[in-house]
Amino acid sequence: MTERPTDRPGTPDPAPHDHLVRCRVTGADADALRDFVATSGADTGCRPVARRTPSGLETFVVLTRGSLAVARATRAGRGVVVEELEDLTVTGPARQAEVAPGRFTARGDVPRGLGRKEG
Amino acid sequence: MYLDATGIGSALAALAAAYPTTSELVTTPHPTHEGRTVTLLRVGGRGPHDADGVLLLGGVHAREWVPPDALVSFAADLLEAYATGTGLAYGGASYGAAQVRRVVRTLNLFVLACVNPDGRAHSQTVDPQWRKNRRPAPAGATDPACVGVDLNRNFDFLWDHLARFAPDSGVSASADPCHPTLYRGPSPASEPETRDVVWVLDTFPRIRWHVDVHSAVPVVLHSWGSDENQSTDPGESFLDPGLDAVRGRVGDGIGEYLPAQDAAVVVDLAGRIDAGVTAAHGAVYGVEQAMTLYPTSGASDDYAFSRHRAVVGTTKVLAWTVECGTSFQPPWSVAEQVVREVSSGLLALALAAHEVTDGLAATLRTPSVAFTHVAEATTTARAVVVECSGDLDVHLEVTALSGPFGLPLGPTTTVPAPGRGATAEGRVWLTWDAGPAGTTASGSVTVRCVETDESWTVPVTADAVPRPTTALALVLDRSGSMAWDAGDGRSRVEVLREAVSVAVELLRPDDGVGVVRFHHDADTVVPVQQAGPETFGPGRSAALAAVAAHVPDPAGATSIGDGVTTAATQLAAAAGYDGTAMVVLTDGRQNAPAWVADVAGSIDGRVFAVGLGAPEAVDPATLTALVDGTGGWVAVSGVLSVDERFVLAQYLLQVLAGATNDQVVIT
Repeated sequence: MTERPTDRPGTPDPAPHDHLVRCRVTGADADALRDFVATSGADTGCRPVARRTPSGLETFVVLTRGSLAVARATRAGRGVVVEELEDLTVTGPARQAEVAPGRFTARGDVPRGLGRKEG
Repeated sequence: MYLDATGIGSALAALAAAYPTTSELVTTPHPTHEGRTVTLLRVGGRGPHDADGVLLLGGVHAREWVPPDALVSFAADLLEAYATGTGLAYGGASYGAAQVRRVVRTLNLFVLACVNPDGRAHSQTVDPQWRKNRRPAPAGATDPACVGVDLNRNFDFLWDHLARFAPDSGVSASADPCHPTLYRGPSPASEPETRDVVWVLDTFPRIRWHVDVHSAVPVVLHSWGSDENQSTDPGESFLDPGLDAVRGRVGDGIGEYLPAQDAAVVVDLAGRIDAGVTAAHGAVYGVEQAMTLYPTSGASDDYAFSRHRAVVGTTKVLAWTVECGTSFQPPWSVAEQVVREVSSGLLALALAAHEVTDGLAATLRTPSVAFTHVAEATTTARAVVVECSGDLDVHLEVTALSGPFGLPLGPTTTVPAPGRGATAEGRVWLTWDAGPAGTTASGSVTVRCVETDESWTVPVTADAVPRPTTALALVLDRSGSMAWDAGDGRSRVEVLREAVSVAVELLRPDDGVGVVRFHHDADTVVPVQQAGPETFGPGRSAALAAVAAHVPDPAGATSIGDGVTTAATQLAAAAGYDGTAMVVLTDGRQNAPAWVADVAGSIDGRVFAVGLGAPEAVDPATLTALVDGTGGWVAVSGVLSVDERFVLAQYLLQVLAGATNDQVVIT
């Protein structure tokens, strides 16, 4: 689950199977979601929770795209709708470039929050 | 740009340095495996143990980058807005300067912005999807996944998931040190980061609310995460090892105990968080119980809430997990929006915490205070009245006072907690020393409720009038009911004696005083005569002696009308006074003629009444009839409180100053 990207150089596959992807899983009820999570062995994030939607329940999972393809083909996978939201293997390194190292170490450099101060 | 682990600590330290009167940097005692220190910032204008606290955690899971930045931003916002006297706005959510002040003055926010700095550093520089801390791998293990513990499975709440949950519960935890995300650790609270959180809860026992900010779903989760909730059987709980074999199963009719009142509060406050989030940019997180698909063991929210049941005397900490945003690491431009909505949700929680949890409310009942027609050369009192409700003691403090008015009981008044749904009146007493007739005064008093941070500035006016001499007839009930309870175990006649002693103290030497008593009949005990000097004055002494000897007649019925008629006759015969007044002290429970209605001709604006007994024991209709249909009567019960003594004195001074029963002011 935590392996680094290992795409082989020159591989044209636009959807590498070992990439981690974050998915929304929507089902009619909690049992459908449990079936999918149990079958796929997906990482359910902080907590294995679902939230209500107008059409049922949804949960969010992380798994490799290869595992996702396998899970979708199972009976449990056919009982839910799985929507890929984000290729974490792609976005992770990009986000690392958005980290500012060592801020606020200079004397007098005080952070300001993102709220508007008004009134 | 996202902050790194070092930047978070530096940011919190910079805030503490910039705002030393409203924040404090606290170093936690357990360095991480890689030697980092977890920094705690306390935000609050009072001392660390002088206000109820909210514990805010972020960064427990390393890959969830937004929560630590959100907590730093939130703390910075509060501190700057408070310092500059502004409000705060997040998108469409707007909070006024008074609301910011209320949070900073009435709460302590304990901000542990990045619980897992080692993990964050690893996630931001090596493996973006790293979740755990960086506990070294077991000896001989080479798989990188064997490093680390999931801190949110490491708390001492049903930690041993293999033993404490049903085998088929699907509980979300792992005993495998090489599980990439869910390893629970070798023992409960084995990790320094976990122990730091426990240390904060132990060290600051006034923490009553806890939010662990994670990402991403989004959703607001409330207790419990270990099983479905039930509110009927306190014994069916995490404390019962007999349930270990079945714990955590969905739909089996066995659940974790959550008292109905707590359930209502955690759901209500979760809704406040959600509403605050939505108000910012329209995102709808929704509210769910933390156990929906599978149970969880060892989580921070369940641990915090379980403490009060596990250890007697430990503070109850209501807890939530907020799963913010829709991505662990959104682009920073998107993360900024999540930071704002989280800040708005947390501010909404802070503003509602006391109100929802304790039913706390304070409402001013006296928009102005008037010392009207005070007799010259008299010191009298009036009160600013604040109606309080809820489970907390309320403190009213005078923050400003102008004009020649005094504070006889000092600047602070404590109102004992009346309880949820009940109310109590808090009185901040002011005195005025009236000068010669014609003197006037004006000013104002500002009263602040410490617990709600509401302030009211109340105008105060006063005027002095000539003091007439008054012939006062004290009309005392001695029917059988006067032996009954006055509300606190004392008899009503004992309260009567105390009330009369207040009246006698207030007489001027040239006032007159007489005593009439009644049961089913009435007789004069002391004819009206001059009160005389303050000590040993003959009229005064005779009245006190009569009252000391006043005892109920167990067989006596109650004819208030007879008492009024006899007193009226006495007062008609009193000569040499500017005016007369009659004060009837009774519980109002008349049961024999003459009735009050029978003597209406003897009742005018100078007949007054003091009701004796608990509110439910006196007869307000009779007392109102006694005072000519006005509201000009007072009630006292049990041992006279300071408030009751002041109210009584205030009332009687107006009687002696010539006020009519429709003019008297009763606070």
